[in-house]
Amino acid sequence: MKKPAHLGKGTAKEKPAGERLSKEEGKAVSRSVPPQVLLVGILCGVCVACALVLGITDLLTRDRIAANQEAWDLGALVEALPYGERYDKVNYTGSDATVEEVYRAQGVGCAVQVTPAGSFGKELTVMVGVNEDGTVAGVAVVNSGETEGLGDRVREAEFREQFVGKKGLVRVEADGGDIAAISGATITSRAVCAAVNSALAVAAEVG
Amino acid sequence: MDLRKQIKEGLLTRNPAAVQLLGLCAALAVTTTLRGGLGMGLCVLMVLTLSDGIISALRLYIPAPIQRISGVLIMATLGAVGDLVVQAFFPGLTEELGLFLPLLGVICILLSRGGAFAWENPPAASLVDGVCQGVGYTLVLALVGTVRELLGRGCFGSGLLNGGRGIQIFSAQYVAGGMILPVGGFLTLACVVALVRAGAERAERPRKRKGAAKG
Repeated sequence: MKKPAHLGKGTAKEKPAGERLSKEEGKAVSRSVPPQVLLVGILCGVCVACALVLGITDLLTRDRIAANQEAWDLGALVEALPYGERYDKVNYTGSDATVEEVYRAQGVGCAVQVTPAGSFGKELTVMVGVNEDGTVAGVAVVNSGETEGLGDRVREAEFREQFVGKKGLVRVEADGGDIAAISGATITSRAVCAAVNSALAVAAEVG
Repeated sequence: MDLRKQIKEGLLTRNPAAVQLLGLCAALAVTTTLRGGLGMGLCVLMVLTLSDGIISALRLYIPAPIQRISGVLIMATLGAVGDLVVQAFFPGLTEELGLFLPLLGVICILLSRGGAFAWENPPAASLVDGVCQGVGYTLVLALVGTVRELLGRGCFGSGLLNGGRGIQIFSAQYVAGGMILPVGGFLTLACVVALVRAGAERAERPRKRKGAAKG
């Protein structure tokens, strides 16, 4: 009785009949369709199926993902400059290279997105809201990239609330100012101060 | 299909993270909170089970020489699909998992032993295997996440409970901040691995002891 020999590791216990026959009966069987074509064909079929699934999923989720991204960005705006009804993007042509985007909320103030130069992980991006009277409305951390438990703690409400109402240059206590830095994260705290200062300057120019 | 055996294997004796030591990159990186660990684990569970099921359903139709490639293709595709779905419906989790979300497919390929189980077993057994391995992985990640969050922040379930703030067990003044850093991850993971392995060994033993006692 012929039983298919188990050919090494990784082969399925049940094989399609076509394969088993051609290996078993050897060269005597004339094959009308060479197995290579079959393999390539099936593999192509799998590839096409995968591509289809990916394409369909992308189509279905693309809009939602874009909306989520927008909501995320808007969240930072609203956090930095609350009470704005509309946030219009303003073309910033000033000289401060750390300023990424500037938004204006009519009658409320403007919000400035800054990536300060002196952050620890070099990725810190902060959104600073400035009222019409030149005082800070709020500070929101858009992107951190700082160490969790240390620099990342600038996200904490306690730290950020210190800036509200400030005018003129802000500095950490170590530099003679009145902002209490996060303990162990002076560099990041300083970077946030730099961002706020940039924003205040931009607001004075634009506003 | 031996259900009890598969459950025991997935959770203890062949636990993918603790015994087979697979997918540890993610196990260290996303487990700074319970939510991260749980979220990652559940994503892996879904994608793993789905791909094991699909591969098992196709196992009779794909010839041996292209099985490995097909398996990898299918898992990578489902991993990408999972990535897009999480981005679309769970933006908070997307932020938490960061760059480990796109690695979903890779982790599943590892956990499924390259699909080895699914190619040789019928769909029902493969689905169960996917679930068991996924649950085992999730448990380890959730445990590590809970411990690190508790000792590193004094809080439990941030992002999940209490409107997102979690339950503060003790004040943030008394935390061991290092638990949030990689060093804490390694230490916690090592302890959890030791714990699970002890349990796995205990699970393998009683049969012999019982036999001796009764005999």
